[in-house]
Amino acid sequence: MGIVRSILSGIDGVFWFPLIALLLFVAFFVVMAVHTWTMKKSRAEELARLPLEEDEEKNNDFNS
Amino acid sequence: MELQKFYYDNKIVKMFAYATLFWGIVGMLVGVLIAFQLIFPELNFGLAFTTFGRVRPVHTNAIIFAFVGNGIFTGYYYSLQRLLKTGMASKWMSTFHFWGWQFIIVLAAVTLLAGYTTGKEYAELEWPIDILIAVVWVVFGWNMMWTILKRRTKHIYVAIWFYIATFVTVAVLHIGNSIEIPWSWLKSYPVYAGVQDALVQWWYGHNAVAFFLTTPYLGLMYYFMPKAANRPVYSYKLSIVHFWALIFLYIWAGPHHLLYQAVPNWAQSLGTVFSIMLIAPSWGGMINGLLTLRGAWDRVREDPVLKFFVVAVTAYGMSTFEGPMLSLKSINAISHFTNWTVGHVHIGAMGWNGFLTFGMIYWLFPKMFKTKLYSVKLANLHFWLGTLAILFYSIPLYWAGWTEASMFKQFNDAGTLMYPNFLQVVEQIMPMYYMRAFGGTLYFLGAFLLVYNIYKTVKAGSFAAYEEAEAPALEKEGGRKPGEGYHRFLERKPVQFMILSIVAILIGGLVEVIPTYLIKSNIPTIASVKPYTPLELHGRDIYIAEGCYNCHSQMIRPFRSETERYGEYSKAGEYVYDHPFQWGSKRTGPDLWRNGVKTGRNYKPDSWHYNHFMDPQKMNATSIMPAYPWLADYEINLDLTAAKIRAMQTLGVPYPEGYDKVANDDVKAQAEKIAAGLKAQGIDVGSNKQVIALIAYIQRIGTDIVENK
Ligand code: HEC
Repeated sequence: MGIVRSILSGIDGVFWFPLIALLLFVAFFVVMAVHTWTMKKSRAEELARLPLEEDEEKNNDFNS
Repeated sequence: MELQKFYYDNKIVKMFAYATLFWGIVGMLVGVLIAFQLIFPELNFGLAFTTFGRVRPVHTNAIIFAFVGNGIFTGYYYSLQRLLKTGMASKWMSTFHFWGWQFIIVLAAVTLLAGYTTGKEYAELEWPIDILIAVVWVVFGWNMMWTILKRRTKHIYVAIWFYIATFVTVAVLHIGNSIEIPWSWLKSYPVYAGVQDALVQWWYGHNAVAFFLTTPYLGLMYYFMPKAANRPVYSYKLSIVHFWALIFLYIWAGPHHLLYQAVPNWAQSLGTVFSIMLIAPSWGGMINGLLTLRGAWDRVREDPVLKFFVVAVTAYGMSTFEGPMLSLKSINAISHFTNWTVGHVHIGAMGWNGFLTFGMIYWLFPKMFKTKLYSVKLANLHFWLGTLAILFYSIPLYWAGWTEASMFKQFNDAGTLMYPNFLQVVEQIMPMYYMRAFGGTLYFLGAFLLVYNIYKTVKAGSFAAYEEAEAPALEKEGGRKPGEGYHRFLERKPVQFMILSIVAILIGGLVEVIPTYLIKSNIPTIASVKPYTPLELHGRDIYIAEGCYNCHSQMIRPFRSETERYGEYSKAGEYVYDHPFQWGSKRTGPDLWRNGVKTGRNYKPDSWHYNHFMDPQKMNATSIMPAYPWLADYEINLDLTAAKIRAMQTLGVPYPEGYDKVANDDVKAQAEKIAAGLKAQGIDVGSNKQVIALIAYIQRIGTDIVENK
């Protein structure tokens, strides 16, 4: 794996890559979390019902 | 709006469900066998393909990839179609996926028993099978993405994200950990060596737990739990947040398998920190699952499906709390290499994966066969048997782990080890091995009840291979609409979503591995460490083929209790030619790294090793090591020497130019010397036999940093 080493160490400032990656990670996650928590409640409830819809339709069929 | 008619393919669900049951029974039976082998070594039958070292990987692979794998696909094919309101995009791809996967399982069982293994846990399959796995996996994923694209629902339910994340991550892990150089039709060496191999392997190993045993099952939980309880998931928002947190955090946690071992300190700390953080999203998932049953607890008492789910999710919570605790260095120092780990993984496998699968199967079959479950009583009995089995399995092993750790680490007043003989500890934990085997047998019997119950249910019902449904077509939509949140947008765009997940996991993986290439000080080179002689290399390959790593470690941690017992602690630079690394993860037998050091406590002459391999119980009556009599019959395959040397040269191992052509001379010379030495001790064995190579290897490992005269 000497090739990998020589390619990698040829990149200027490669040492900072992991750190930048970590920060990106955290930032993306925070954005995602904030965004999710501010989601409208009605919308979350609608999404949560997705697996049950099928049964609901069937039940409606039975009822009508 | 006009309704479109389409069909849900139940046949593929049924096929995977049958395969789940079949391989579940096989995998558990094999598990019971190896549990008993650790009590009665005669059960290794003196045959190569029935010894513990070869059979244990069959058990782990069968449970993970055959039982749980088929379980994933069962629930996945059922839920995906219904959540997207469409049949599968390609029927032949589904069928190919099914038969391809079963074919891989059969190949796996045959090759592992025949001794073809990479020697890397849970990634033991050799390169041709690795390629096949990649092909089948891509077909599975392709079919999934295609189905998602032709869906009739606007939004994608959280369960499906878990499926997508599973698909991409497992693909990356599998490929990343399987980069190897073939040197025969069924054998190869990994490109990584020593520390790097260990880091890549446990990056893979840990994330196999995360993305094969966890994320797809969380997907199943988010579908089948609401279905069975007939109420929506407790918090949809929580499901999203914990989804992203899981993916992000898991990928960094791999090094917690290598604490106190010869890997850089920063990597160990990274593993610990991220493991602790993992508690949050894991418990988020557990709480979300359990609270989905709020207000339905009266039904839990009656419905075996819900009972199985409750225990499954509770087991998930337990093992995801225990896991981070085991990642704390102080606790890991005690638990690692002991039966504690085995107990821990079985809470996950039997409780979380097993029980969720059982619940799902009990729920699915009556639905698909339009009938009632044959016997709710029997299912309840299964539930109690299974629960009892988990307790009988795990509690003794926790106890054993604790006993092992305290006995290994105990010193007497004179400052020497209180229990210097490894077998003193083995004898002490024997009763726990008995109880574990009993627990495993109970679990197996429970699974039989399931099979019987399903058989009766199937007989009584009528199966519709294709279930008719209708829904309006999805109107075409463009990019992000004004006022639409990013996540909502993402939810509609599975391809973008997939790419994001890949990026997320790649970053974590690269961060772990890249620095070990860059920073020289991470793996200090040791000038006296030399490549193996070709005979030792043959011996090493026999060590791998026989699966000795399933019981022995080659990694001495820097504790006084270990240096006292085994010798000088291991240095990263000692393993630079180890393709693959063989550090092991469990000490059912003692560490072997300094076995060849002549001044060491554990040094034994060649003749001892010979007699020991032929019949360990003759040397130590209470030993539980299998006998390896065939090693004195089978010959070293000299035709392969050149190819092995060339493969190693490609990987950068500094054998001289052209050495492949003359290596066999060195094999013969070294082997004859060992055989002559044995002959002087009254042991008559041909110098071309495998046992000679194995002895050469055992006497060599860990000796490069000492003067070994
Ligand atoms: C089922 C687990 C198991 C397997 C598989 C196994 N061993 Fe062992 N081994 C043990 C146990 C337990 C001991 C300690 C008791 C004894 O000396 O027999 C031991 C002892 C040894 C010793 C002596 C170590 C010492 O310091 O006393 C050597 C060498 C050894 N094993 C090599 C091997 C090799 C090589 C293989 C594969 C061909 C192998 N073992 C497979 C369990 C196992």
